[in-house]
This record gives sequence, C-alpha cells and structure tokens, in this order.
Amino acid sequence: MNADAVIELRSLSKRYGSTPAVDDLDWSGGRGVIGLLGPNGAGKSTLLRMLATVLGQDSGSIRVFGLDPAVADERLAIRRRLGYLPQEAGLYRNFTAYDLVDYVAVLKEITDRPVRRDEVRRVLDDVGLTDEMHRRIRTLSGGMQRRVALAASLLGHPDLLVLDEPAAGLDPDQRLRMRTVLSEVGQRATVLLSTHQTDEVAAFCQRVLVLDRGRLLFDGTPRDLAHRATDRVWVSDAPDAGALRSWVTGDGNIRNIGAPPSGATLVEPTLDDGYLLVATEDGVRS
Amino acid sequence: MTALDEWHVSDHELERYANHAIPTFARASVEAHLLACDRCRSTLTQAYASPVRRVGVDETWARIADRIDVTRRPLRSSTTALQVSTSSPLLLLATLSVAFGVIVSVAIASAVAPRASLPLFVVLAPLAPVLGAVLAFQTEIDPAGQLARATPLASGRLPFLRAMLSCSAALVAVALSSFFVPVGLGDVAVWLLPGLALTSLVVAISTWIDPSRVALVLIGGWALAVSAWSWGSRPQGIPLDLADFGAEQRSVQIALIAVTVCSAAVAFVRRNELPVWRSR
Repeated sequence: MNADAVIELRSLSKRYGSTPAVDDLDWSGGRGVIGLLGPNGAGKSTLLRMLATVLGQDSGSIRVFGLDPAVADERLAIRRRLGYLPQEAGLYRNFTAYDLVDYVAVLKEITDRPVRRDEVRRVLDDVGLTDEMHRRIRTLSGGMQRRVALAASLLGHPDLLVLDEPAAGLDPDQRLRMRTVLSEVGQRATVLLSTHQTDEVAAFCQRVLVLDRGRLLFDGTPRDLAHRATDRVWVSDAPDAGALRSWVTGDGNIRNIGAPPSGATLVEPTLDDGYLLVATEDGVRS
Repeated sequence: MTALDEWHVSDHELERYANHAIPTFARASVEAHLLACDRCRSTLTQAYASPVRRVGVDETWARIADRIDVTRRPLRSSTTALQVSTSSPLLLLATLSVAFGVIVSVAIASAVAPRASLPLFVVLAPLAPVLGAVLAFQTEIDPAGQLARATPLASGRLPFLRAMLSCSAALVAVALSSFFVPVGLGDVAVWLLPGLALTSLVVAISTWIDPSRVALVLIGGWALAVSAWSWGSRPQGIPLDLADFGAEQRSVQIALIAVTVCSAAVAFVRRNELPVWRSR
C-alpha cells in the first residue's frame, strides 16, 4: 500500500441492475484538490457515495486512511475524519442555518459548546453566510441552502472532503469564495469533488479524473488533460466531416477535435478540448 | 431615555461583574446594559484586560453570544444526548401521533363498543412502542437528511437513543389509555413488559436488517393472534380475561425481562452496525 494514499481503490465495482455504475476501478490518491469530471450517469455520485461510506460496493476493495468502510468500527473511524456533501442534502427547512450546522456539529461529535459555537461560526463565515445565519433554511435561496450544506461538510477540519457538485447553484462570486476555501483545505487534506464544469477543475484542482460509464478514462493534471488535445484541435468555416466532434464557437467559427486534415488551422487546446477528446474517443472505441 | 442613556455601570460593579462576583439578577442587568453601551464595554475590556481577567471577560461575552443565538431547536439547553435525540421535529410529530392515536382509539372504543376496548388495548399495548422505535430508525426523519448519513453519531448511536425516547413516549401513552379499559394498575405494568421486550428485540434485529420489515411481521402476527383469541377461542358472552395470555405468570414475565435485557445488550454491542443507514 502506498503510504501517502488517503484513498485506495482496487477492482472496485458497483452495478444497478445490469448497468455498471462503477466498473473495475483501480485508483489511489492523496492530499490536494482532485476534480472528478464526467457526463451525467458516469458514476461520479456512486463513487463519491462509496467513498463517503454511505454506499457499499458489489466487489473490489475500498480503503480510506487505510481503513475498510465495510467494517463497522473502521467505518466509524473514517466518518470521524470525513466531510461529505451529498448531491441532494435534504435539509429540514424550518431550522435556521445556524441551528442546522450546529446540529450537524453535534452529529460530528463536537460536543463542547464553546468549541462548537466557534466552529459553526467559522464554517458559516467560510461560505459567506454570517449575515444570514439566523434565517430559516426555507427562506434562503437555493444557492444559500447549498452553502449551508457545504458549511456543514467543512465542520471539524476533515482530512477527507467528499463533495458532490459543490458549485451547483452558486453564483460566480460564491464560486470564487468556495474555490479559495477549498484550496486552503486542500493544502492539508484531500478534497475530492465532482463537477460538470471544466473551468472549475482548471481553476483550482491539482489533479483531474475523467469518469465515463464507471471507467476511469484519464488521471493526471488539468494541464496534461488539455495537452491530450495538442495538435488535435482546429478551426474551420464549415463542420469537418473527418472530425470526432465539431461545434460552433462564440465568434461563429467551427471548432473541431480529432485528426486534423493537412493544412488545417491548428489552435491551442483548452481543458474543454482535452475532456471532450478523451470522452469522445472512448465513445468511438466502445 | 436621557436618564437611562446617562446611567453607566460603576467601576466597582464592573470589577465584580468581571470577577463573576455579583448575583445572577444583577449580572443580567449589567449584561443588558453592556450590550447597548459601547462606553461601558470598552471600560470593561480596558480595565480588566490582564490575561487572567481577560479570560473571564471573553467567557462572559461567549455566554452572551450563546444567549443571543436564536434558539429554535427543542431542548437546546439540555444535555447533548437528549438535545440531539429530540432534534427531529418529524420524529416528534410521528411519536406524538402514535401516542395520541393509542389513547384516542382506546377511548373511542370504550365509549362506542366497550367489548372491543380490551382487545384493542391488548393489540396496541405491545405494538405502539415497537412502532415508535421503528420510526426512530428511518433515515428520513433526520433534520440533516443525507448529510447525517456520513456522520459518526447519526449513523450509529443516535437512532438507538431516539428509539428509546420514542418507545418511552408510546409506553406512557399505553399506560394512560388503560384508564379507558377495565384493567387494574398491576395489569397495566404487566402489559408494558411485552412492549418493552418486543421493542428491544426489533432494535437488536435492526443491527442486521431493516427493522420496518421485522415490525411489519410482528404487528401483523400479533393483530391476527389477538383477533383469533377475542373472536374464536372464547364463547360468546364471557368477558375477555387478560390472564388468558399468560402475561401475568411469573415465568412469562421473567422470560420477557430476559429478552429485553439480552436484546438491549446485543443492540449496545452492535450500536454502530446499522444497515438502514448504509445502502447496499
């Protein structure tokens, strides 16, 4: 076992009926902010739920901090060092934001009252909800409710933070704030977050994973993912029949990825290009 | 307002306040003034800023902040365990509905059909606490929803605490409902025992499988057994007798206590094994 690995997955599989959600996955990761990219139904949430100890696997093994979430005592030990933001938190809407986060702090065994008060205020401040903390959750906007749940996941300085689409519903200002907070956490802990947005990954993730149909298509730095598309992106006036994917850009040009024809106008690849290339090539192969 | 605005806490009072040396009522009055008065606050901070006294002042402000924090959760000032176990408004509502339902249905039966009140009491007495406990194990009743599932307390010990409280409320309701049926106080105590034993059993089993299924089987089975007894085995016209169940026999009672104790021990040992809180 790798001594620095916080997460170790071996031949991990999970199926829903005959559909594989996670398919024979091997992976290990340590400290830093790790982004999980992939289309809807790629298996991102399933993988995150398994890592957050709330879902069991069909086969293969999971080790978090070297502990097995399938064993009750070890699962408890993992949960004491874990922060988890589910895709749909389902918070009770008649509590105030403060009360809800305070309640989760008790669930996380922060029982000393002064310590808990400071910690609750710290996380609410981290997500920019200090002024709204005594409002009932049902009176908060969707983005604010999401930030309440994010605040609760930050409680107790977890060593592993598992976040299922933390940026969903946040406006650009709040996104910026979230990136700053999570980057700080990533200095000392492991932050694993799923997203649909490549700009999120480019902005603050040190490592990126691309998942599709439960399989890991890419594991590396965001720069490496963009470089996958070096010499594979070109612009043209009309859609190129030989391209893997073509789309119209904001300036009216057609952007193509794939094998460029001779004489094509090659352009600098972005993370989007890299991601689309990896995902599309896989689709063509299978 | 002018007179109030001009009044300030004397240095002597401030010193006694900072040293926790004034009675509670005077303390509350000083705190109320400090909240509104910048001048007295800064005097307090500057005059008593020595490291030892500073702690006292910080603690005082922390306590004030604690009081100002909006209190909406029930029993927030009580112990942590009780506080959290009662923190589910949904469970509170469900438990009260069960308790209220038991009392009202037995009361209505005794008024409308007196012969049916005893069988109804016998059906409900052991099942109401089971139902209360099963409700406590549902993940949906937690105010933190899905967030709670990955926390150390909610996915382990908390449902057990909640089950105990919910079961107790149901037992109290059963005891109260006995006023409407022709049974003595001793019989009531006897009829709380099966409820306690069944609940502990269901709670212990919940560390292996979803307790809702077990409860469904128990509820159905018990209701059928009582129906068969009340309509089948007794000739028409003879009043029902609780002694028919054998619940008054010492050996039955000892067996029920043994089931309760053993199940509670199993549940305690396996308190962090809750399959309901972890999907397959």
